[in-house]
Amino acid sequence: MDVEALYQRYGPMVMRRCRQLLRDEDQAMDASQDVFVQLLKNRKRLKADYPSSLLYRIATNLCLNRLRDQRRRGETRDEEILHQIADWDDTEGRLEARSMLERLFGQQRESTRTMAVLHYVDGMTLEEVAGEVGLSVSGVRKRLRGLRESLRELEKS
Amino acid sequence: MNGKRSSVSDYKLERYLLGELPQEEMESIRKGMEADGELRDRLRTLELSNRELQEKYPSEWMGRQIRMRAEGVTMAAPGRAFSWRLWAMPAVVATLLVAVLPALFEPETRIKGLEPHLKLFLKTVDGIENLADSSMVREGDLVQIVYLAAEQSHGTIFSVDGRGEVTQHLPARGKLAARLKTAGGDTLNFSYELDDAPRWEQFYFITADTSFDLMPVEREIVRLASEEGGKLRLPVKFKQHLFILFKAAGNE
Repeated sequence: MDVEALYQRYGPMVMRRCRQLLRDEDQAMDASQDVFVQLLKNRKRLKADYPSSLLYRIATNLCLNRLRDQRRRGETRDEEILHQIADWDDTEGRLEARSMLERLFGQQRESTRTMAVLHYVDGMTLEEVAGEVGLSVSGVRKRLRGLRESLRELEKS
Repeated sequence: MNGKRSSVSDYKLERYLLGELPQEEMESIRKGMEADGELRDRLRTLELSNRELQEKYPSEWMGRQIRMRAEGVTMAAPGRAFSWRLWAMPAVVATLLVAVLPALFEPETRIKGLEPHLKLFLKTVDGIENLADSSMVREGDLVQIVYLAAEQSHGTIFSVDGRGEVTQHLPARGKLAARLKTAGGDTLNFSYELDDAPRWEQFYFITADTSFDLMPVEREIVRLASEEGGKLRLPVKFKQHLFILFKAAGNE
């Protein structure tokens, strides 16, 4: 796999995604590199027709994990919905570190958190999210319902 | 929790720019672009951003960083000849260096005006030999790098061989300068076996009293890769120390 060519083509998109979610240049750059590392390490299993789609989702997942870790370490600014999503206890994605790649590479379910970012933060419609993660619209709606309820509970408490 | 709704999300626009949307969507956005000035502006902004990012983070540099992370610095990427092969520091070298380091550094750290610099050690059958700048070395020699920070807080160590191959030694990975041990010196966790690159191995120790990005430094090293003893053009906040080892031919 030609990393330079891959980075030349997709790097800016990945970097913008990381900047958007992390709002920190150094961290965004660091996360961008990790996105391509994940891709490299799993290149034999790469089946996506459009690498941009896969890279975008890997970037989203990695950034969410970083935001959650920052929050746990008390390092982060208070950032409403994004941090709520990042902090959310994603039961389908509980085995985050182990299963993220399986999900992304098509063997397990997509993280509800990723769907939530695509929908609530990026403004994608349920149809668009469904198309992106390969679920039905009702499937996406159902997955997001649990998250919405959890967030409402949090707001009340 | 109402997400903003737009006819074309940023994500779609990114993929449009890459030409990676299904044909139908590509066509739909292309038509939308004709009638929607804002959409055209957003696309233009992405194109400008692409240029800015490709300039700021060149793919050659990022590619190298990514491979180092993916494979670890102990493995060279296929087709890439590192000037040094990285070895776990043998116990004997570690033991000897631990013994000699305090003696080497403690007096020096008290000398006012001391500049940050490198010390290189050669492992021999009899123990450890302190290499002087411009020493002769040969393929197969095992060398240990030690730095003295002289109260500079951050630094990096690169080497470039006679083939122009650049290797980052400190930090082992990443794009920001390493936090240095300012009191006394420190030895890197690995020693290195010289390969068959000709002419020389040049070590650059670049330091500053604040954190800094490694990319401009590495760019400068790459620029000077084929020069012997080239001085890097860096802002005044940086201090640089160059240590050269000359390579003897295999039968010398």
